[in-house]
Amino acid sequence: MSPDGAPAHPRLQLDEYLSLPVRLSIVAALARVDDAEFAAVRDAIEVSDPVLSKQVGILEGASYVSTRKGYVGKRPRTWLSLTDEGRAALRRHLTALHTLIDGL
Amino acid sequence: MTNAPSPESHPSLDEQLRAAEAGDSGGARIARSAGLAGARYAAIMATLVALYLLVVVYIYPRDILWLNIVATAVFVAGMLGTCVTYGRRRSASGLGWSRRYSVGFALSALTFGLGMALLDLMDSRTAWLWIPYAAVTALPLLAAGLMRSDR
Repeated sequence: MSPDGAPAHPRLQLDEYLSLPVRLSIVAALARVDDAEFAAVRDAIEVSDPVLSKQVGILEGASYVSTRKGYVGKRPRTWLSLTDEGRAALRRHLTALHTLIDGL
Repeated sequence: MTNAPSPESHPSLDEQLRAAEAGDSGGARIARSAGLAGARYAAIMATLVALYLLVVVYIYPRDILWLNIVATAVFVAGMLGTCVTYGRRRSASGLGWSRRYSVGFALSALTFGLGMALLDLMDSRTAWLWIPYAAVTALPLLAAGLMRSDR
């Protein structure tokens, strides 16, 4: 809320972590599943391994995404999933975006 | 964390909306592939459970030891093989998949158990009863594979 009691500008509701398109893409992709393999997310949002790895690290630091490592045979695999906090943040961020473009 | 991204350090609203759209189509692709893999897995398990019920009804009473052993071994190997293959190949799990599959499997197992009790009570092996009953046994697993959830 602003000092005069009016609702704060929706821009202020945008989530800092989700303001980067790649991070928003990762979170939006993970919102549709319980978990997804690293490679599946990489291919779906069309980024390179290092880019995805770096951005997932940042989202993990914000507790928006959790990772689980495992093996299939001898091949290492990483599974990504969206936390409840990440899901709530995405919902808030999208609501703010919709409010910003409302009426266009 | 602040909730106020500065205009200098962040992409434009336009870019964000484009990203959201791209992320959504990527997510839809992952969810579709997870849904297909889950449905295929559940359908194979449902078929195996239904077939095994028919094996128990029609093959076991013949008391041919080697046939019983082979039938059981094929069933167990089929279940294990399906589980392992699904685990190796899956690249994602749809929303609520684990819970849905567990419930479906438990209901199919329960129906299977009731079928065994019914078989003991009636000692009847008429096809008009047991073939539909096998289909009913498979239904919860099939439903688990076909259902989708939104959160």
